[in-house]
Amino acid sequence: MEYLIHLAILFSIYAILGVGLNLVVGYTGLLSVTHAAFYGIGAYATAILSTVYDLNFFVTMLVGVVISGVVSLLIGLVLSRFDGDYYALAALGFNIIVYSIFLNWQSVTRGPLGIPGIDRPDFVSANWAFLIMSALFLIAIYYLAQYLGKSSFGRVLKAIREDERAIQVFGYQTHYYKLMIFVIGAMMAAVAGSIFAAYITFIDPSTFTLNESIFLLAIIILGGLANNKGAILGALFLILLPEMLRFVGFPTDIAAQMRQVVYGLLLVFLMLYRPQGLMGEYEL
Amino acid sequence: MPTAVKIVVAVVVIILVGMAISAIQKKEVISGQPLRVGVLLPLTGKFSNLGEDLKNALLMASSDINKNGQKVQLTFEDSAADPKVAVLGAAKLLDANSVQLIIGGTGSSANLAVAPIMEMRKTPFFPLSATSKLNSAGTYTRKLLPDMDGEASKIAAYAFAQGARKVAILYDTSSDTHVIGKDVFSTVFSGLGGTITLVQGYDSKTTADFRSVLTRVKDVGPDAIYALAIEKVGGPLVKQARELGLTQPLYGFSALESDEFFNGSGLAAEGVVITAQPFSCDGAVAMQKYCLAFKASYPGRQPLLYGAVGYDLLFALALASEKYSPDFSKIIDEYKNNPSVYNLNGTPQLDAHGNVRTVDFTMRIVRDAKFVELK
Repeated sequence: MEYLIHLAILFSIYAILGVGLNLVVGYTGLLSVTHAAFYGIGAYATAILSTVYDLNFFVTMLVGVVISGVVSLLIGLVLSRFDGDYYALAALGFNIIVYSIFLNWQSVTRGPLGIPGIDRPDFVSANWAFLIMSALFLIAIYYLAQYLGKSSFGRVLKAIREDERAIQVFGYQTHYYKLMIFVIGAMMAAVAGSIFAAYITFIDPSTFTLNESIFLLAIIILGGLANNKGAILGALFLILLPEMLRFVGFPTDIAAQMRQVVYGLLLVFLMLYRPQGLMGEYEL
Repeated sequence: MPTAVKIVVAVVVIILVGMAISAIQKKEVISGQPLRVGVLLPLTGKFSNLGEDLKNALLMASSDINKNGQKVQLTFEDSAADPKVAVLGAAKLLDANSVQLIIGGTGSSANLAVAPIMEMRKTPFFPLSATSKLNSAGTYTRKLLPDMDGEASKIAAYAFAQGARKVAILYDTSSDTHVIGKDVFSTVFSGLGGTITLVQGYDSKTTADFRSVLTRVKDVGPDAIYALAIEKVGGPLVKQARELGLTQPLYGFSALESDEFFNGSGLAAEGVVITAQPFSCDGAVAMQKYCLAFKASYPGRQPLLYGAVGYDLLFALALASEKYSPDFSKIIDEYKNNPSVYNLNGTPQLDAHGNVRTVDFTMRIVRDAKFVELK
């Protein structure tokens, strides 16, 4: 049962990440590949503040969310002036910058040595209790995202996705909306980062690379853009699928490699027959 | 919800139920039953060649051990040297396969993420890692490779003894072992009276061309260069250094000792000096026998240190299990008293807890595209 609980915890973390990213990419149409950076900021905030200053987990999470918000505001001020491929390119650059800071600011982050011994809150020291906590965070973030998506704010985001110039004609300052949703998405990612740090109890920069941002994009594309349930389903699929393949009886010599091949083929198959994603409303 | 989605969700739920049923079935330890060993190692990703070496060696060991009736049963899972994949792999081994202990492959971040789980589950964990953070990872973790400190200290003293007074250090910024090596080398070399003229990092994940880094080294004109690199990276690095006209002595560490290093460096590696761990196919009789058996079982593959250590460990555990099964705590205590059967990596020196802290490092030099002992 512990294995299933571990899976469920990781799923809830990635579902939070997916829902947050979906607001930026799915609803607003901004091809952001910076999400792993904010995920990392949340994780490092919890790791550093709990190991060095012995602060309460929720305080560290709050600090991580605030730092992530401020950093995303600064990055977003630059990014909101771009669109399309230029936005993606600039976002890619920022992810690399933040990763480099995690790796090289060794006096704070310990660089590649990572930060071990991150404490969990006492009341969730058991995995099942931790699962309940992360599930509650997922539910809260999901409903927040649903509320934002269905509100007038959400309608403006969708309009930006469909035709930004058209909505600008009606007087909407679209770069403010883009900035706001980018910051909200980043803060949600920081929540996931804090939970991840407390769960794994050891973090290092290798988790928060560009590859992780691309994996998060895959979650929401597979699940379906602009659909929060789809983001959750995408996380379920992409976290569970490689684990299900562990139980397939491939020969020992090639098992690990075959799992990767099958995993890739299944994703390609899904995209061929359902390019809008499992529950998507539109294609990229 | 579209029909396709409902089908997908239904399949997922069915499989989850199946996994849950499988995971719940616990196996009790009965005297005479084989020792169930989980092996969590990188079969894909950055360290996959080292993972393959360990896997092959463990399969060979289990075949040799089980010749007279099964005494060990191995189950392999991929860690991909990634913390979250490793954590799930460990959980699966513990729950679905009911392993009694886990051997971990290379990849310190994956091993550090798994160690707390093993503590919670009170299950022994033997990671093949050199990172010193694992020495304090918990009562159930027993690190199998010596700390990097010993190698870095030894080569620093050697470089100074050879007359180097100014050294440039190159290291992989994404490797904690290299960061420790850089720091220890700097401290020891400076303590002897030398000067570190340049500390230059590179990222092995993104760098294959070291010329810009090496140009900076050339500018400072050191007496010697300490290049912390694994074999895949070290080969091209050494070759490019020589092509740029860097003729200074080049020092490295045990991770270079592989045919892969020579594939990348060619003849440019002549004269490179490294610290090495005792394992060598030209070493003691037991090491030579192991290498011959490995090459016979896996033609075309070079036996590496990691596999040798894993092979030795499995024999030690199997012997202990034969003696004390089903009293598992006695098996682990016996391991601490007799951690090595064939001493394939020399006689390991353990701390009070059972972590390997150091071995008798040697020095080796490249002669004719081969590492030989440096007398």
